[in-house]
Amino acid sequence: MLHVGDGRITAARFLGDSCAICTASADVVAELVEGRRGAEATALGVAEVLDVLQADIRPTRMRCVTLPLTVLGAALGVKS
Amino acid sequence: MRLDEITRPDFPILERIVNDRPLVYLDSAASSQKPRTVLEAMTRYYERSHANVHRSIHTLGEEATELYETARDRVQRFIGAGAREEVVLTRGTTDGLNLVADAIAHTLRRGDEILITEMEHHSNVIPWQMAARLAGATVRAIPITADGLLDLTAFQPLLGQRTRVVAFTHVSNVLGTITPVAEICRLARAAGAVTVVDGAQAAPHMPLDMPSLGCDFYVFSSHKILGPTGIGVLWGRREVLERLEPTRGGGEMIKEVWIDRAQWNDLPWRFEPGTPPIAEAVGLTAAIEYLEKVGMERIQEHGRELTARCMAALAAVPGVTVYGPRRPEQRGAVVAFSVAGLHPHDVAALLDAEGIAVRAGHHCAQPLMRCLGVVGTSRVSFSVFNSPEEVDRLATAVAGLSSAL
Repeated sequence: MLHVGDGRITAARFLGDSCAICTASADVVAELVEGRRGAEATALGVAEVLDVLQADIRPTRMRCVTLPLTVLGAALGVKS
Repeated sequence: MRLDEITRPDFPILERIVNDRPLVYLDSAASSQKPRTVLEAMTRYYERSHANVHRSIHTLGEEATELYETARDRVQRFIGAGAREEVVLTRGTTDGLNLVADAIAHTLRRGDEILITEMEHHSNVIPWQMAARLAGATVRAIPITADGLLDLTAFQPLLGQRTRVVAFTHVSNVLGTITPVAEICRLARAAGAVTVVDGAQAAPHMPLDMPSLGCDFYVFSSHKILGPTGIGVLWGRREVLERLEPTRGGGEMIKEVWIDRAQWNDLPWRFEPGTPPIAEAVGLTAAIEYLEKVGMERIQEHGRELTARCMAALAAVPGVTVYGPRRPEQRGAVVAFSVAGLHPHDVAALLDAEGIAVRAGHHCAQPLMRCLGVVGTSRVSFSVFNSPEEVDRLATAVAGLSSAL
């Protein structure tokens, strides 16, 4: 869920039934996009999320990291 | 001596240390490990006898052909098939199911019905959806009961004049449920429907006898019965197989070819276009010989003992839910479970950290996950080499996860 005011994301929240990595990633994504403009939020990449996560993510679990970014993109796409 | 004590030295991969612990491989339902005899047979074939099969008029070609066709004979004996012509070698269970569905699709008419079950693997769902879409037919599902058995009282009303196919699993890859194949086939045949059985999870664990099952098609993979990947078996009752038009063309599946037409080859080669998986067939032969040497009755008994031990041990852990039929004799050698508060992927990752390999997720059975009301489960599955001590190590590890929450 995104709250947008004056073109900026003022709040980002999520609800999910997901694994620990995906939940952590969603948490980081929500934190990182708050205060950003739509285009800046869309530009958020997996590298930034991994920087914050500071965890050893195996290739098979990378989709768990990227899913919240995909959801964010879809949410921003709907809004724009 | 226990079965695992006899067989463990035959599996080189069990020497692996994973995350500083001896590997506990509990994912044989996804793909089994291979005994040394299988690996050696395939290497020997490539080092000594490899050539293309069937039309190579030279020594190696003849040896390769003989080895390839020997696999068919071994499969025939292994499943109690009446004739070698009924044994089609495919690329695996998924390939076999697609082959049958493609061929049957051409015989379906608008309004026809295909019956599957709520606990099918996607490979026994999607090919039928595709066939139905081509023909304007409908896919319907036999429901399951609360304890994970097929609801046979709901099956009979679903079975009607429009039912052309009943396609169902012999053993559920999630719940482990053993379905009453002979009974379902009897009812389906009486209604004039063709029966297709997904035997992927049954073939590794129990003796098979096609005549007593009474189905029209039976499909399984080599890689789940200790053999290599890339090859599988489609058994078809001869009179039903004879009526099917091949849907894949190429070399070897024909007798004579003109520019605008061709005459199909005899069974079973009619359904085996192109160069087949020859080394894999050699490996499959070795796998079947290994299983027969051990004895399928003994393998079934071993699987039941481990399953019963595992179900009891996991059910005793607070917060753990075990899915599927309660009685071990109603199930194959798989146990799906969940740990309250932990996503199945995390359960699998945490167990892997202790060297224990389990499967996690929807197990290619999303309709069943919806029935169970879960996003996924963790699943352990057993093979000939698994020991009671490994089950105990799993249970201790799961209890550790549960208590850490």
